[in-house]
Amino acid sequence: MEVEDFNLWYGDKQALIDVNMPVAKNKITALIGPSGCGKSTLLRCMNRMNDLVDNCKIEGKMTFRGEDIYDKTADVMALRKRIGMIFQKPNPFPMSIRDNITYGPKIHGISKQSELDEIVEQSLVQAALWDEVKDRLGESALSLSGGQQQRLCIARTLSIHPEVILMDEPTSALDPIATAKIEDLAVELQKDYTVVIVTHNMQQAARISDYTGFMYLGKMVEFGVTETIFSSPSEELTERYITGRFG
Amino acid sequence: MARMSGDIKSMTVTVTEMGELVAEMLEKSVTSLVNSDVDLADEVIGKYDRVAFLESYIENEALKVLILFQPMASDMRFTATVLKMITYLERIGKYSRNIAKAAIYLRDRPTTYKMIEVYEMCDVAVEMVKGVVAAFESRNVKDLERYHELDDKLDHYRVNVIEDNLRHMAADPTAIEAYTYYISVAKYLERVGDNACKIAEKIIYMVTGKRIEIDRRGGGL
Repeated sequence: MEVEDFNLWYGDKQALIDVNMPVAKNKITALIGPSGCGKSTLLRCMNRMNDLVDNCKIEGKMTFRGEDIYDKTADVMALRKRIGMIFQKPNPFPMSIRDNITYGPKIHGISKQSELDEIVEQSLVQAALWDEVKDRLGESALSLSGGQQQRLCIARTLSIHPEVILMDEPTSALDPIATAKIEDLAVELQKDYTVVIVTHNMQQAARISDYTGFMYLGKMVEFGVTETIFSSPSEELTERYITGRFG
Repeated sequence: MARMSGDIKSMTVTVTEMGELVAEMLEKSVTSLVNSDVDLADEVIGKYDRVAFLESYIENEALKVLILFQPMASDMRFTATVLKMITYLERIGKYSRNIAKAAIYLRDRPTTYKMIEVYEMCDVAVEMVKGVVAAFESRNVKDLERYHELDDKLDHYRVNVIEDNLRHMAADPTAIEAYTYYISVAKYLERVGDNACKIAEKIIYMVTGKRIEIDRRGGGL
């Protein structure tokens, strides 16, 4: 995926300014920066979630596998199937664990029970949740803990075999143990998927990502290999932010 | 992160104290050797306790910063440098103590050998130690780039000392033990140079973020 000279306005307010960045396949890319810097906005642009916002205008280019995501003829539903998203707060549907997973595949036309069962198991195994819920698939998803709900949401995303998973602060509502599980999971998923994660937790970005972009006031201040960004950033602003000497 | 900045400032002060202390010990240890001054040698040996104390004190402080603040970028480089630097400084303190012990031993075993290189070696080694301490405090690494030349000088002198002492050993086998002490002193001073080079590399990393290798040939014999 490639972001080129990307600009976005909410009404009169410009939220993204000339943003450029690559998203490497089968790697984890982290976006960091203070609140309001545009990192979540940028993430949401990657599967056109901002289409749902009134007065939102974009300029520039965002391509996925060489195709323009914002092409007028692009199929947004198909795009979101290929580029899934995990939100800050776990948002399972108020239905059973099994139905949460089969919801997407059913919409996309899969109805055979054995096939759906296989998807349920496969997705939950991949999301490292199978062992904890395999005996209670019929129970409500809302009976799960916060960390389990978040992994269920990841399993739900995996059920429709996306290529990219966007994560918007996926662990900010979780305790350290649940956070560690999601982080391990993200690293594990990277083998089969491309992951882009927005996080306020810099140690998290340093721990799990291959590339990191630091954003400030709508601009991509610095983008590079994570190890370099966190040990020897080239921009003074990045240095000040990650050492906590900001503002 | 005002607390971390405070901790970093106070660590800068204690590491500088440790560095200045080992530079003083080094200088005095060689003076005690040259003047056969046992009192001065005892003073150097006595100062080692403070070096050992500072090493463990600063190590605890640095670990505290790692645990409490998980430092990043320049703060991470500073803390990592401090953790390595105190080990090298402690070794320099130990070499100085060993030279002082040699001074005490050699006072009662006079030989015909005069270690003329010891003055030069001491000057170079002390210059290197003081240089890294100053660079650490000021964050100015300009003078550290020529450390390989100083290190080469020390190596060269050490080889001379070994050759001279081997000749003396052959001529006067009854004093072989005393001559081995002179060889050891030259080795300690040369090792001080190696350790100063390692510290210089760390400080250059701390200040610039770049990793360079000053002593590419390893530590010698």
